Amino acid sequence: MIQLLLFPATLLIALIFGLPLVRYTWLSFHADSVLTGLVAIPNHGANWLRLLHDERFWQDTYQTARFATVSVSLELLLAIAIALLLDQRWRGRGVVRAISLLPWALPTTVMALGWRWIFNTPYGPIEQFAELIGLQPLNILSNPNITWIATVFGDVWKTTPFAALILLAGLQTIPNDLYEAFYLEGGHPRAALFQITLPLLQPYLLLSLLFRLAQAFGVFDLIQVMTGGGPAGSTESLALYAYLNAMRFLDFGYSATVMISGFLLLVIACLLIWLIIQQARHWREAVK
Amino acid sequence: MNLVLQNIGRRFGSNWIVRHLDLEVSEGECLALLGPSGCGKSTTLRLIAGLDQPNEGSIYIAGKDVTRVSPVDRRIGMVFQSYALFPHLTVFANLALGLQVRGIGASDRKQRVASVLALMQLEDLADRHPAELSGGQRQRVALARALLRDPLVYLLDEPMSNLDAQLREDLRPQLRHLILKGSQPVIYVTHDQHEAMAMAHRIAVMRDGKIEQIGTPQELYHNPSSLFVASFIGRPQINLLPAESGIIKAIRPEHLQLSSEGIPCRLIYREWLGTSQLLMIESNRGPLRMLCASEIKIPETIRLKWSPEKEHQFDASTGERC
Amino acid sequence: MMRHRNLLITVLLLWSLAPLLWQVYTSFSTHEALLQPLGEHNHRWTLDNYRQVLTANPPFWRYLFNSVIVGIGSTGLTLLLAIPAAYSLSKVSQNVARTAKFLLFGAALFPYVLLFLALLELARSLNLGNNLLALSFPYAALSMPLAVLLLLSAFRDLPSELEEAARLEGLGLWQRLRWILIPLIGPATASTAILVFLFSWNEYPIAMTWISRADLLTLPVAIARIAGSSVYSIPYGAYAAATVLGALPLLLLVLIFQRQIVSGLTQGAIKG
Repeated sequence: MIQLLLFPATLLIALIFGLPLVRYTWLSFHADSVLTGLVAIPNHGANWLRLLHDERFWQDTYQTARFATVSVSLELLLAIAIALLLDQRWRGRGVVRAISLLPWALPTTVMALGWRWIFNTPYGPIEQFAELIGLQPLNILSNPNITWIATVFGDVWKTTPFAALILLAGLQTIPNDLYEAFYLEGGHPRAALFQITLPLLQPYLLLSLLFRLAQAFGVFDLIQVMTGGGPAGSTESLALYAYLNAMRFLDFGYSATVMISGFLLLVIACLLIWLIIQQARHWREAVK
Repeated sequence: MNLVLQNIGRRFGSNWIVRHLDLEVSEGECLALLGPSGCGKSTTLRLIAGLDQPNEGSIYIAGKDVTRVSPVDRRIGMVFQSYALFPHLTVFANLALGLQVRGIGASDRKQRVASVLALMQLEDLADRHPAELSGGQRQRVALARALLRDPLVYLLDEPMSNLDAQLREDLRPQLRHLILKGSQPVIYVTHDQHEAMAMAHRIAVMRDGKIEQIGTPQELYHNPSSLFVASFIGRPQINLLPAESGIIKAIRPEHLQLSSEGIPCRLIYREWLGTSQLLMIESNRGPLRMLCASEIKIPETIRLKWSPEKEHQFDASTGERC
Repeated sequence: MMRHRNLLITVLLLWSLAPLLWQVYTSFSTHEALLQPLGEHNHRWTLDNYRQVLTANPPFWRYLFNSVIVGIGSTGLTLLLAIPAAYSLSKVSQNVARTAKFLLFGAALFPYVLLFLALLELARSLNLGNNLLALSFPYAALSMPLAVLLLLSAFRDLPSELEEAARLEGLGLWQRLRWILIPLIGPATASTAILVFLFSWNEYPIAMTWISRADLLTLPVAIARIAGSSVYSIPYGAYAAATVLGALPLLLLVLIFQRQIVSGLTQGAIKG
């Protein structure tokens, strides 16, 4: 009887995660677009062949990976700093914590619009400041080489609080006695960070890393609203490309192919990270 | 209205926690399950309550086979070791919830709860939450809740172990009076033999999932059926003499007597206990404990003897009484 | 580092608030002030931007209303299914529970944006488009893994004797859930609810593909539409006003419920 209670939730979860993947896999082996009158016709892997030679796909993969790696690295660094700051007791900590949560709580699209204005040439504050100190216009949002950095900035701003909270939770599980014992033996506070804090924070760092990496890989809202994928497709992400294929080019078969590939790439990336971390652990054990 | 356990067995994996357990508790009787931790007494209690299902055997309450009956329907009044009061409800609500769920009307509920609150002297605490109560008060609320169940059997799981010694002594007579007023059988689980002897009509001494011996406190004290029971019952602990030709003799500290012809002994240490004194003694039969009146002056070297009727004999290999 | 603490706190606050504050500044600025920020102006401040946004058609509060409807729907549906699921998971053996937790965790990690196409097809075939309450279903499904994980650990934290005492008192399963178990996991339920609400409020790709009617748009989609006009035109004052108005409800929610949010994420991290 009790097991029945599990049923609706399990069904819903299985459906929403399982069905799409199955459907995409099936679709990826069919042509389903305006050309076929929006009917799915088997095309025996033609989509996949196209994908392999699709420069835009591989360019987007590179861009998405670049975005995700840089974003997540920056976030984790900042998150550690913020978590360390919030872990201590000081007056007003609760309020500051609440305020630092705001970026995460806001809808991405709302702030994406805001970022567009902030990075705007020539009227946004960044450009104004650059002009003030005598620089040439930076053209942040129209320079294919640096626009992606602006998107990283927007992403880091929004999602760092999430990682910071997870790390903060981890910090609070570290008993104070460990630090006290360390100091009593003449340890320096900075050393404590590397000897005690970071090692014990590992599982939480890993948790934030995996979570954020998966989320960053699927970045969509920010890119679509902030840059639309431009300039010249330099900020386009895999998710956006899949979306365009479906909604603008009405090529559902290919869109599904892009999404399945993106998913597979993500799984491979996560597995690689997992393996690297396991291997690093072994090495450390061996050195000891 | 009695309680019968027939050949009850419960295992966890391949490990039998309780096996071949037979028990009968009659109307109005209080039986104590006594034993060291891990002996299976709490497991047995949970089996009776239905919180756990036996792998073998049957349980009968008031003549009905309840082995497969859900605890919801068994009409058991149980007091948990932690009292298990619902923390988010007031004392009144804690007591009234069961009645409400069983379909008893609001005014009737109010009346019943009020009367049991008066009985347990808790009227002023009706609107408090468990967190605001002392240990003794919580215990009384837990007891009140059990009473309101109007149960066929009472199960008490170490109800006093969370209380300090003084409180325990104060509450013992109250508890005894309350429980034994009814005609329901009572099972009282404890690791404290004094509590068992004070509260129960009979005691079942348990070890490793089996009952070593059941009897009145006096029977267990005077005629322990095994070495284990003899050592467990009676404080200070019984003296065990080294085995001789396969027999271990045992003599209780209070039965040792000073004598001019006994075995030669030497006094090591003396503990004054008020009206009595406990003596640690070295003898040619090994170390001995002796309990006697505190006025008696004990010299360094003494001679001790004991009457053979007070001596217990056990088989050295099985521990059974000879 | 400790000595510079106040400095760091200030930096953190500035970092978190600056972009928003800039939007506020922009939203109250006149067109001319935006074009020549450092020049002299007769009219620097104005409420026109807000007027423009609030009197547009459909009116701005409509979007907020839509988001609230979807938010409540998703939260309700999620809790309705997740609480029983979490309860029953708390009763199964450790091995099964561990596998379940692992799977749920994987589901929580999944970049849900990848699901939009299949969900779109689903909406089309079942004719669920432009239906705010229908949107609650995919949202609830996406929030379910995290919700179940959080509630599962809350149920596990309850002392088992409480439920046993309730059983002996004669309470059946539903009665135990109603009177004892669910009330006692209140804080975890509140945390879960606010996290689900936040997720559904902020969700974009699925809302965008399921809802096209202007008066049914949720907030993120409405803002994105406003932003859809050319990057080169400059009603940025109005954009900023829309941003500020869109951010206000969230600000309030976060400030009011920050403890629940923090505790929910914290619990998820520790037990994960």
